[in-house]
Amino acid sequence: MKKTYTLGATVVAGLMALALSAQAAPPTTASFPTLAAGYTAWFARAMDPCDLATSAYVVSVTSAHMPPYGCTQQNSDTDAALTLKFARLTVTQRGKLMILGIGLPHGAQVGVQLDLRFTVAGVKTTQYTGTKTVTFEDQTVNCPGFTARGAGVIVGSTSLATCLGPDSGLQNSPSNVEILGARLINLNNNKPFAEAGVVR
Amino acid sequence: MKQRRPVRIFVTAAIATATLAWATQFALGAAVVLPKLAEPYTTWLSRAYDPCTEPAVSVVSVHLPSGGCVAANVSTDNSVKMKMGRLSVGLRGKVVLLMTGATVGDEVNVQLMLRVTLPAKASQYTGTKPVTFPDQSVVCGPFTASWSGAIIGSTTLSACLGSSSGLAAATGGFTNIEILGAQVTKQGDNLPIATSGVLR
Repeated sequence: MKKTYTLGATVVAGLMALALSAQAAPPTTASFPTLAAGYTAWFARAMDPCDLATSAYVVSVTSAHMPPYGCTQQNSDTDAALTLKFARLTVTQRGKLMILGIGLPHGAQVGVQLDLRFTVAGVKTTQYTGTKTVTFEDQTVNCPGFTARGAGVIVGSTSLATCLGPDSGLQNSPSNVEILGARLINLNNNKPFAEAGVVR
Repeated sequence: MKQRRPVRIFVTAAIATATLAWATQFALGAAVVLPKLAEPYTTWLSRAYDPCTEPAVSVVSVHLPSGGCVAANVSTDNSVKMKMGRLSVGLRGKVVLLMTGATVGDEVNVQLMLRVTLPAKASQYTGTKPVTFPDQSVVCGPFTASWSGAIIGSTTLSACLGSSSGLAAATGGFTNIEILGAQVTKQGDNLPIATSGVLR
């Protein structure tokens, strides 16, 4: 009888300890996907944001099925000088970045700007033995400029490593790269003129 | 006396040219040229991790920033599994999500941050004017994982925009939609699961 009681108490104590440890265990982090092969964006024209509270160009919209207020289109913070028929950006799994653009003025200097969040596995830190998966601060990277040829065409490629400069190790495998934003910049005035999007 | 007439014509032509150039300058300033073509926005999905706003660990691996944060999923989701995912926003306003590796019954949404500029009627003007609307965070879905863990979802931008569906209207190439952000979020708590990106 005494043995059964002891066994029962041990099982209960064990279960309680297990529940307690499960409660105290740190939350697990999500694992990387097995495949994310590429990012392809065509570009819409970049326009100034419309802030109803601060903009001097607010209008009352009467068209149906639209928000009641907007701003007349402005291109002060964004570029209005460059023309563009279309542009396409591809970032491959191997970290290659390719740009194709048509309809730009001859000699236009165009930069590619990406907002990126890197989470890298196998990183050595001073606080931990072994390695850890580490998320780094969001990076806005500017890739080297491309120049429009005679017919207003830009065809170029570079690598994420080149765009990252001294932090090129961020794109070493295994690395989870979140592309939070992609835009084209007129390097003559450093203003964006195209943002990933669609034109209908 | 006979020579005065050509001079008058020349002066008139010069004035007319100058006036036209002046007027054109204002016209171009008001409306930038939209791309003729911006085909689908197509991206694979990388896992979403919490942003690292205050680096907490010192990194000793080479070619990496000196500080980072141990990867975490507090403001992002770690409950929905994902092997791979792909998202596209098509020319005709179709939003398509394909994800694998989820658990049967998991429900997710596609969340897009859009800046739309299109011709609209405003009470202050006769006719239409290009109007940029305040940035819209739109939610498409929910889409549910099938028995195989696959999520195949398809909808339209108009459906996602709800009462503002007119923002997705095709206007013969004058609806300019900037996709400022694209995420897959968990239905219910809206925590991001995945973001456009690549896996290295």
